[in-house]
Amino acid sequence: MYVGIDAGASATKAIIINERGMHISHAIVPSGINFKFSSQKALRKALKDAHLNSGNILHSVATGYGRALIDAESTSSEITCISRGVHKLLPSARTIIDVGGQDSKAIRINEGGRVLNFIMNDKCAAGTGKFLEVMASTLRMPIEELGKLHLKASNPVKISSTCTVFAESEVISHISQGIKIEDVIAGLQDAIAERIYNMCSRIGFAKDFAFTGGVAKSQGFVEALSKKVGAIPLIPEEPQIICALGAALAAIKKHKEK
Amino acid sequence: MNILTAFKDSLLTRHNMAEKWSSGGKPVVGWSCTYTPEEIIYAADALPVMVFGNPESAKLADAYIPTNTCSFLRSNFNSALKGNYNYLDGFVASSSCDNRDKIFDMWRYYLKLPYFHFINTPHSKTRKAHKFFYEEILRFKTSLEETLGKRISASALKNAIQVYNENRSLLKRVYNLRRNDPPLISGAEALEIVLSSMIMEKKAHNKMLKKLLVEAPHRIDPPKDAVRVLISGSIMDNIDPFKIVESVGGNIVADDLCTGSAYFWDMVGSDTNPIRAITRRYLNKIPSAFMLEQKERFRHTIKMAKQFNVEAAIILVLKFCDAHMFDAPQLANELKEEGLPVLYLEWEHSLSGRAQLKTRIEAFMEMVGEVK
Repeated sequence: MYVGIDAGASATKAIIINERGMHISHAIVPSGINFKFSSQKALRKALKDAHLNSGNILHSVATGYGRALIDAESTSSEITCISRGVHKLLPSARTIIDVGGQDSKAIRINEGGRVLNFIMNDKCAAGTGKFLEVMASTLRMPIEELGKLHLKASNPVKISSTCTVFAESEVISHISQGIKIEDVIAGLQDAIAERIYNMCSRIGFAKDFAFTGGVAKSQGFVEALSKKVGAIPLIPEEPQIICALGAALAAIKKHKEK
Repeated sequence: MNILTAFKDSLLTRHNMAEKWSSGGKPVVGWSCTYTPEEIIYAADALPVMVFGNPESAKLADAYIPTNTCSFLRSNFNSALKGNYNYLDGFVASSSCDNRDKIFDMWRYYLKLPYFHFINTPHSKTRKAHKFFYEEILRFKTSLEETLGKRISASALKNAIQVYNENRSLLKRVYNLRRNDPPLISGAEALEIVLSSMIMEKKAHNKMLKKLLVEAPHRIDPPKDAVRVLISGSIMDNIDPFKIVESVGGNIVADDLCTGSAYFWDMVGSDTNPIRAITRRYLNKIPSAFMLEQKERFRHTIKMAKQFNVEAAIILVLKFCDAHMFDAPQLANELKEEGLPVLYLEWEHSLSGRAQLKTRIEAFMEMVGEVK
């Protein structure tokens, strides 16, 4: 068995695959402040689900912000892992947008899944899952609600600031003017979708784009992004574990090279 | 190799070293731009030292300088405010980028040093610019003579030129150690060596360089095989960004930095008038980004990439470093035309956002390494 662990800024993901790269089990736990602890927890959970123990692991690869801090035989960057994971599941994809807890990325890959170019957002919460988390907490609702309410919007407001702090004030001011909450939420998601789209435009868009990362689970956000791009993204069944999957695929490769 | 530790130590103990020099009764003169003709200071029997920053937050400086300015300059002004440079007998600036010019005013206003001088360095290389710069260097020499109460003789200048030229040619030989594949010294080591040259007495530095050149071919722990990288961009007085590159599958083998190849690449030529020789060298040297000599700067970068068999280029620009930010897209195009993959990165002197910087560099190295 091969293991990939993605110690992300918000969540830590562990995945177990077999030698053909088929999914056996996975687990997602909050990262908290101790990557070592959260990665062990995620791996334990995944092993338990698969009725395996650590003795069955032939090789493990870590990725994500906490990759250097956790127990794995080698590490790989998120960019390479995401590309590898997407290429395995969605071989036609040539552009990938990944929106995670702390950053967003746009990646161009070739027909072999090799990275041709990539770009990451600047070091702030704008255009990331963090932005949505902050807004959900401002609006006092669980983050999953954002995506659902978005779909009910009839007249989205225009949020002009993508800075998380300023956008929060804008949200409060819209609400105080009596604007419907779903229209505010739709406006917020449109604003991030626009920011991510603009970032992606800098490396160019190839058709067949895949959308991964935790934020790809938000239906409302997917709609906002599709509208911006003018195409519907390919989204894997569980978009949050693609980076971990790429790490596990790297583990197979590393084991063979040994 | 023990000698490498000596270069590292000289950087760590640079303030003590300068204080010791100063307590011996000899003046220490700080400078901040590589267009400052150090030979004049050296010929006056004073120690020229480059003023570096400190990769900590620039808390004190932030009370005086807006945060959307060069973080390197804010950081070195911060060090000065903290009193790290109290031993300086003077500070010399040279007209370069806007930020640096204005920081000079801050130094002059807030810091109580006995001597300040500003050299009006032209930003082009016309005949008139040469004539003007010659007069500026003479004016600097005269002002230093008046301050120190001694004459700087032609023979002292010629001696300074000789010592500095020797340093330049030795540094070039050190750089050539990286033509090997894998290189004999790492990029971080090479940067440390150049930085130490900027703050040490040059004769002592020359001695260390000679020792290094003897020992390097026999070292037991040279860098391992990795992607050969060129670094282009703003001033780099901190080896950490280089260490990041070299920890994720890169070997930095070339650069066009003013704290790198651009500092020592060009020699002072021979001329019966040493001031004229110095003028020519400094105005004709590999241009910094603030000079209106962009094409020539790019030419040097590309030539180096070829000479050192570079496989990838990283443009590392300090946030708010305007001149480099304007140049970067064009330089990236030129490098890509040579078939090199290019990564553009902005960084803060305090290295906040280190994890994101590392992820980008690591991904880039994996991208390039896969083709290799």
